[in-house]
Amino acid sequence: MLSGRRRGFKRDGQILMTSITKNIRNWLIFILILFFTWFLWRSVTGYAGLVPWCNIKIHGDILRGNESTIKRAIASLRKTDKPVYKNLCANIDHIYERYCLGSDWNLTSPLVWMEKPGCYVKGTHAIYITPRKQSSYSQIIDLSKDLKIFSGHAKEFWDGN
Amino acid sequence: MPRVSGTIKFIFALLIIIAFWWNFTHYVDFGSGCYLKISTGLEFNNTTIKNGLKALKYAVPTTYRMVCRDVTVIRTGVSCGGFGGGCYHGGSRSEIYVSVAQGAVLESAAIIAHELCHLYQDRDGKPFDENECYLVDDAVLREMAKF
Repeated sequence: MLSGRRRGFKRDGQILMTSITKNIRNWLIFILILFFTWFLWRSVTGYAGLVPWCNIKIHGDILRGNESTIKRAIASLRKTDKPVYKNLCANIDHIYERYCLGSDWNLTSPLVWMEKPGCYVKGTHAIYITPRKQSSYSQIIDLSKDLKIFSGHAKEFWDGN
Repeated sequence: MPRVSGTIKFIFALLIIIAFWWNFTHYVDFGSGCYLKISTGLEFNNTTIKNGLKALKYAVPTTYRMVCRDVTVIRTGVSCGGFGGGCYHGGSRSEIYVSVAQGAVLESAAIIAHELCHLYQDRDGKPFDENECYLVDDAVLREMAKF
């Protein structure tokens, strides 16, 4: 038989344990909700990957472009060329699916620039990619090469500054 | 835990709101001594302008210094210059209008440089000449876009 005092201690211990377990459970639920919200937010707002160390936001062109081609090209780089993928993640945070006009459109015909695959915008961590509707395998490969070139330009620019 | 009085909570909340508002309506670069007011109209967005200014800072520093020195307010809105355009109203005011409807950093930087050119034309008493200012934004675009 436990004395009244010891019984009291045991009951207090049980209450404390239940309270700690409840707290841990509540925190886990909170973290799960937070993670789910973050996952949903990234998916909806057009981020290229779901890994926190590669925050590249894609500003797609719904009418003329195909955001998924860019995502596939990045995924392809992740699998095939790790150093380039790392460089891309380190130096680029925005990819715009739009024509990169390298001169004023009132002085030079925009058609000249529309034929280019895109460009790196100096002074930023942004890349412009010419919108393409098609999403064939060869285009994904071409785009991977373009991303490699432009992220190289970004690295070169920021290393020099 | 010590209890925090309602007044302190209110002051703290107010300070946070003021800080957000100030950050939304101003561009400050202490390192370069640059201070600009950004007035957002219907285009409730200041990010494009700020990104455009930051891009100019690193890519075309001379233009950036001129913007910091001679422009006091950048107003956003499609009412002047149309979607993705810009304008300068004249009257020796150091205000330029830049539309951020397209949300793109390269164009934003070029339009800021273009409107700055009109501001200088006005200050120098020269007639407005679009071609001269096209050349200015053309130079900015050529400098910033690397193919």
